[in-house]
Amino acid sequence: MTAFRVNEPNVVYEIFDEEIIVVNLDAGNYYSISGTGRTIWIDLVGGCGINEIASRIQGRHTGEFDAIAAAVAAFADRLVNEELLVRAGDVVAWPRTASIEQAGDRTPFKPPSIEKYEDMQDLLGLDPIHDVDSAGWPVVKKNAG
Amino acid sequence: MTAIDVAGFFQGVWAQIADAEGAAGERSERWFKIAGCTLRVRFIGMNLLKVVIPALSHLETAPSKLDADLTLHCWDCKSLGMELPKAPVSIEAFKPRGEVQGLNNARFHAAFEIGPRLLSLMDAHRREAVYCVGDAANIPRYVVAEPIRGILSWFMRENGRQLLHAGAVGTPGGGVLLLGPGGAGKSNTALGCLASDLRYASDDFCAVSTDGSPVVYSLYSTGKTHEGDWDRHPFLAQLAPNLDPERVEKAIYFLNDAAPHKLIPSFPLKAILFPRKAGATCEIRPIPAVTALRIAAPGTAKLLPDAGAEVLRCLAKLVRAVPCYELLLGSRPELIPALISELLATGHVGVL
Repeated sequence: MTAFRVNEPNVVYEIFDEEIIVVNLDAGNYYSISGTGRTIWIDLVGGCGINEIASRIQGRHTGEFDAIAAAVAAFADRLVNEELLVRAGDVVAWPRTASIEQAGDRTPFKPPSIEKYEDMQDLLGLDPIHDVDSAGWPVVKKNAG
Repeated sequence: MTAIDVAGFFQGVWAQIADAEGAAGERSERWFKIAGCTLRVRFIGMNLLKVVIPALSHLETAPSKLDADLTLHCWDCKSLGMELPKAPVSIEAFKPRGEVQGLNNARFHAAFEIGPRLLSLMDAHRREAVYCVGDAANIPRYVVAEPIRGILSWFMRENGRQLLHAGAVGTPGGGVLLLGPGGAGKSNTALGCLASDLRYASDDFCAVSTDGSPVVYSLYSTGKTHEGDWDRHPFLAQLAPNLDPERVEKAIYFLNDAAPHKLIPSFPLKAILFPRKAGATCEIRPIPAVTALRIAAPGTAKLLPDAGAEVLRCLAKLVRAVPCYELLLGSRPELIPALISELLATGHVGVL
């Protein structure tokens, strides 16, 4: 079972009560993660594997284990594809039979979602065309417009 | 990839200081107290005085017998018949915000602004920095309004402060930060407060400390607006603005000359406002901290080399430490200072 870690130093995040703000400084994107995604992010960066997270979710939400685990795995894949998390070796195997205390007022599991904002890109992603001078410092190309 | 000899590059730069001193006919030394930290600026040749001094003049102080927290050496290559130090990296190392990849670490900092050819370097261990300009005649007006910004950003961070892209107005008892994307109305709101009892710390960049209760510090005594904004704030035209000869760029106000009594060097932060051009009335509305960070995020890492993560962490601390509000600018900007003053005095949000 794969573990994950934050793609530091390019990625920084801040956890609020209802939402996590994640910024990929290299790519110039930022993200808002709320709902079940918030707790899954916290568990992923805390070193939990997919099955452990799915079991934890079953303590708070109703739903089939396999379906929840698949949703968590897909969410983790998305976070890796966005280069917010990187795979970090194996976690200690989580026993499926481990006891998870279930909350009395469990609600149906909703798959995690993530909102992506790309309006930082014009600030961070811009890369002007340039040449270098004889000392090696860049200069704006004369024909760069 | 060949390892970059960062220490060797900086050693070569320190050696060039002596070359510059040998080539320069005149030198000058000025001292500044910035956010409680002492900056000593050595001008090697006189061409950069008119670039660095005007915006920082309100923070100038008498020379100290104690060591400065940072000594900055400035020179203009062209007037001294010198070249910039030889770049130790390839073209791929130059990043959009000015960072020079491979030359920045916990001790060394480097940034290069391509257009005007401004090289900024700092060695935190030596507490020395260099501001080396290709040709002072080509320095744009915005640099004169906010000089040595990269070096001030590193200097502040070394001393537990953080530069922020924010306006700031208040009183000795407390004030507000004005945050948000470019064009939201930060400058006009800050400069509009010059006609009120509120005092001016910044319209664009200021420093903050977040250890304990947050404090805002003035960096520059300049302000910038378009001439078209004089319709809303007619008194700005009386502040001897420096106008762009082509009337394209913003007018620059040197407030330490035009209105020194309106400047304030620091104040405790009481609230964060996010101006927005909307609404018929001026109104202040509370917003959650996470919303505030989401609004602030796109502009946070902007313009400051090698500082994106630190700026975000600082902002996250600030939005948790003080209440955050949306400021709807409405159609009568002259009413805004009164709303801000009421917020600061009573904690109440209002509509005018």
